[in-house]
Amino acid sequence: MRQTIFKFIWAYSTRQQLILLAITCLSFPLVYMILEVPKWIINDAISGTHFPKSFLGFQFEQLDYLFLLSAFFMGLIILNNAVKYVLNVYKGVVGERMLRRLRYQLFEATLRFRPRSFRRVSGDQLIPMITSEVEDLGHFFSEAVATPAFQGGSLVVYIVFIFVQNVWLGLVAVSLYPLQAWLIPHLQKQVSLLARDRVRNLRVVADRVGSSVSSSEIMHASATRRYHLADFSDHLHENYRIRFDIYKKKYVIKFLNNFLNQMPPFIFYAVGGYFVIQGELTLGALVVCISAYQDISGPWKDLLGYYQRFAMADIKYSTIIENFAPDDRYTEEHVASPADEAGHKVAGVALSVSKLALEAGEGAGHLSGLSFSLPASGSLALVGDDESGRSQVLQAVAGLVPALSGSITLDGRAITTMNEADIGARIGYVEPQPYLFDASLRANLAYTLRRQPLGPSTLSESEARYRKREAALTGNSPDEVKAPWTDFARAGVADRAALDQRMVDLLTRFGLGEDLTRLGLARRPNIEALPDFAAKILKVRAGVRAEILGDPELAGLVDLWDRETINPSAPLATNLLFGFAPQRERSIHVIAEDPAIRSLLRQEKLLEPLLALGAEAAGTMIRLFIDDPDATYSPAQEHDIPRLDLEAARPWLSVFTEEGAKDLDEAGTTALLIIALCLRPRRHRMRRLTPALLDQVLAVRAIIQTHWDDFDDRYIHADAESYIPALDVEHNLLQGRVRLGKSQGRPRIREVMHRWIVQEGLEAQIQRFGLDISVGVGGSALSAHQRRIVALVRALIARPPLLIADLGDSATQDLVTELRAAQEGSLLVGVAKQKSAGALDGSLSLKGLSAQPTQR
Amino acid sequence: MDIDEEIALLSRSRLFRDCDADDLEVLAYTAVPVSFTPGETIIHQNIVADHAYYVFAGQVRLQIAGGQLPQGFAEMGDSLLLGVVSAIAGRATPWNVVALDEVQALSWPVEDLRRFLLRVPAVSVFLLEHLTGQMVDHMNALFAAQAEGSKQD
Repeated sequence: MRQTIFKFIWAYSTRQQLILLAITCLSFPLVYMILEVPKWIINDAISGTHFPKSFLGFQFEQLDYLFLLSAFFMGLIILNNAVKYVLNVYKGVVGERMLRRLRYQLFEATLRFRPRSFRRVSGDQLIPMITSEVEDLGHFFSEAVATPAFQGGSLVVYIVFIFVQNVWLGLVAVSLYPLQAWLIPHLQKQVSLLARDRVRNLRVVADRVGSSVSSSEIMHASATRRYHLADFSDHLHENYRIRFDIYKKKYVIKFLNNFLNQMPPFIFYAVGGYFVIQGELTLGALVVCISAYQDISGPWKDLLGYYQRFAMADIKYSTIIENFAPDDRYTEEHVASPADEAGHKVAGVALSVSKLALEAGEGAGHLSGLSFSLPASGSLALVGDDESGRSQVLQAVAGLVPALSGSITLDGRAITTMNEADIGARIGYVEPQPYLFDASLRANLAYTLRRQPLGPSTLSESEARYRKREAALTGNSPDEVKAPWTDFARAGVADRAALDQRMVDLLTRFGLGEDLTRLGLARRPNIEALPDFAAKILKVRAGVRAEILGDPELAGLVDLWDRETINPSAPLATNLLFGFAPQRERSIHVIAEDPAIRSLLRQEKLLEPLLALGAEAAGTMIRLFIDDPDATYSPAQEHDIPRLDLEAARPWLSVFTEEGAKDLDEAGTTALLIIALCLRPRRHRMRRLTPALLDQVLAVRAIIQTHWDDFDDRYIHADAESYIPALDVEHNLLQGRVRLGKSQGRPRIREVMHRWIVQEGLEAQIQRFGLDISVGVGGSALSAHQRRIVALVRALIARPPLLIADLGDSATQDLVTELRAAQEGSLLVGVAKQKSAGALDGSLSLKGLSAQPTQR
Repeated sequence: MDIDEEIALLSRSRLFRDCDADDLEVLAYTAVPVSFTPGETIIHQNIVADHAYYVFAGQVRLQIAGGQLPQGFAEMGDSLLLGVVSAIAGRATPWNVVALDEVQALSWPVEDLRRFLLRVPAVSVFLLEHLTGQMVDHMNALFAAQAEGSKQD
C-alpha cells in the first residue's frame, strides 16, 4: 500500500488528474469570454454608433448585431455549463474509482492478515475504516491536482499583475503570506493530530458497540448493563473532549486567517494613500491594486482551504493504512498464486513434522522438539488440552501460523515453499470455534468448493463487459461473483441435486439428520418444481391424522381443522376465513385490509367488537410487555403479534373508548383489526374474546363458506384436498396446529409425522429443504454443536486429501470414529482427551510444552 | 376460566404472594390453561422440560420407569409448580409426572417462566426455600429408610 495519499493518487490516477487539469484549463478562456462579451454588448451593440459592423466577413446592423452577440453570449454560457458538467461528472468518476480502489486494497490487505493478527485489530474496528472513514477521501481524490493548480495559477497571475503596477504594493500584498504559510500548517498539524485521535477513539466506540452486541447474553445474565453504559459514556466523553479541542484550534485558524487577510488592505490604504499624496503613485494604479488584491483573496482562501482538506485527508489516509500492514501478513505471491496442480488426489497426503518449535499460545511459552509423521490415508490424534499447543500445531500444519523452527512437509514438500492454493489443494481444516456465514446452510456447506469461477457470468454480455472494464480501471478483482463457482467435481458429484444429497448424507452421518428434517418441515418449498411431492404429502397427511385421532393422548396435543368449530390454537383471521392468504409474509394484513371481508364484518356487526378486542389486546400487550420498564418482550408473543403491529395500533388506543371508536379512520381500523385477527383464543385470553364473539366469527365463516367463489381467487381453503403452498410442510402434513401449553407436544407429534415421512420415502426430500435455512449471523441460528458439525461437513464435502480437525473438548469417540470413516484421505485430529482418539491409527500426547509420542 | 379468575387464583397462591398486580397480570397473560386426563403424562422422564405448570386442581404422581421412588416421595397435592427445576437448571427431569385424576393447570414455556423469576426475585427466593426444604425432607426420609433397613438386617 502507498504510504501517503499523494503517492496513492499519483500512482493510480496520474492520467485522470491531468485530464481534470486540462478540462479545468479549458474553462479559463470561456470564463474570460463570459466576462468580456457583456462588455461588447453594452459598448458596441447597445451604445455603439458605427454601423453596420463586420463579424466573420458579414455586415450587421445594430439590432442584428445585438441579437448576434446575445446569442453568442448564450452559446458561451451553455458551453461553459457543459464543460462544468463534464468536469464535475468526471471528478465524481475519478473520486469514486479511487475510493473503490482504496477500499478494495484495504479489503485485500485484510484477507492477507494471518489469523493471529486479529488479536490486535478487531473486525469491529476494521469495518468503519473500510466503509465510512475512507468516504471523505473520495472528494479529495478528484481535486488533489486540479484545485491547487487552478487556484495557484490564478494567484500567481494576480500577484504578477500587482507587481507590474508597483513593486512596493506587490510586496505589501504578499507580505503576510510567509507568516500564514508557516503558522497555518503549524496549527493545522495540531488539528490533524486531534482528528486522528478522534478517529481512533471512534474505532474504539465501534468496537464497544460490537462487543456489547456479541456479549448480549452474558451482559444480561450478569446484569452488567450499567458497566457497559459507563464505559461507553467514557469514550463518548473522550470524543467530546477531542472535538472541543478541535473546535478551539480550528476557529483560531479561521480567526487568524481572516485577520491576516484584512491586514494588506489596511496597508494599501495607509501606505498606498501616502504614495498617492506624495505623488509617487497614481490614484488609478492604487484603485487597480486594491481591486486586484480583492481578487487575490478568493484563490488564496481556496488554497488555504485546500491545504486544510489535504492535511486532514493525509492524516486520515495514514491513520487508516497503518492498520493494514502487519509485519507478518501473507505475501501477495502466497495468497494469489495458482495451485501447482490442477486436480487433487483424494487418496491422501503424507505428512511429516520434524523438530517443530512454535509459540504454544498466549502465556503458554514455546512448544519444541515435536516430530511425527502421518502416512497417506493414515490417521493420528494430537492429544492435549487448550494450553498444550495442540491448536497451534494444527494451525502450523495448515499453514496458518509460521513455525519458529523445524519443518513440515506434505508429500515430501516443505510447507514453507507452498502457496495458499497449493496448501488448500491438499488439506481441509476445521477450526476449533467454527465461523459460519450469514447465508443458507447449503451455501455454508458449499463454501470450500468455491475457489475459482468455473464458467461465464450469468449477467448479460454487455453488463459483464462493463463490470470487467470498471474492475480493471480500479484494480479490482476480474472474477465475476455471479458466475458458477461451485466445483461439483471436487465434491465428487455431477450436479447440484447430487451435491445436496451428499450434504444431507454427511449431516445425517454426524447426527444432524433429525435436525435437518425438522428444519425442512418448517420450510415452504416451491412445489411447482416437485410434481409428486404434493401428492405424497397429502397421502402422508391422511395417515398422520388417522393415527393422531386414534390415540386420545395424541389427539389432546393438537387442534385439527374442523369446519364447524373454532380452532383455538389458530389466529382469528384463519378461523374467520377457514382458509389462508397465500402470501408468505403479512398474510393477516392481507385479510384485514381486504375490502370484501371488511364490508362483511361491518354488515354482520362483527367489525366493532373486533376493533374493541384489538384495542384491548394492543393496550394490554403494550402496557405489560413494551412500556413496563421491567418487561422483557416474549419472543413467543412476538411471533403471534409482531411488535411493529402493536406500535402501529398504539396511536388509536386513546381514541377508542368503552362506547366505541371515535374518529377512528381507515388506518386506525386496519391497525386494530390486524391485532384482533392475530389473536389465538387458547393463548390470548382477552376479556372481550368471549364465546359469543367466537360464535359470531363462526357465523361469518359460514357466510364466507357459502360465497367461497368470491374469495377463491385470493385465499386457499383450509380443508381443501390440496397442498397449501402458503403453509410450511409441517402444517401441510398436520392440517391443524399443535396445541399450546402441553409439554413435549410438538416433539411427539413430529415423531408421528417422522415415521410416516420415512415410510413414504419423503425424508430425503424434506431434509434437502432444510438446506435452505439461513444460519444467521455467525451461525447464531444454530446450536454450538450444530455449528461444529456443519464446519466438519463443510471441510469433508471438498474431499480434502488431508483433513485437519481441531475438535478439542467437543471430540467424542463416536464423532472421531465417524470422522475417520467419512474422511477418504489422511486425517489429523486435535482432541483434548486420550479416550476420544480410540478409532484412529495412533495418537500423540502433547504433555506440557514438550511432545511425548505414544505411537500405537 | 377467564383472565380475571386466573389472576385471582394466582394471587391466592403462597408462591406468588409477593407479586404486585402487574406481575400477576404478566404471569396470567403469558400462561395457557391446560387440562390433563387421568393417566396422562404431564412431564416426561429424562427430557428437559419445555413447559412449567402451576397445578391448581387435581392430583399427580411421580413415577420412574423401571424403578421405584422412596416412600413419601411420590404423592403430591395441588398448588404445585411442576417442571421448575428443569426450567431453571436446564437438566432432564428424572421422573414422569402423571395425572392421577383430572388435573387443571396453567402452563408457561420455560423461557417465559425464567424471565418472570428474574423479574420478581421474591418468587425465586420463595421457590429456593421451598425446593431446598423439599430436598432436606426427602433426604431425611431416605436416610430414615436406610437406617430402618440396617436395623432390620
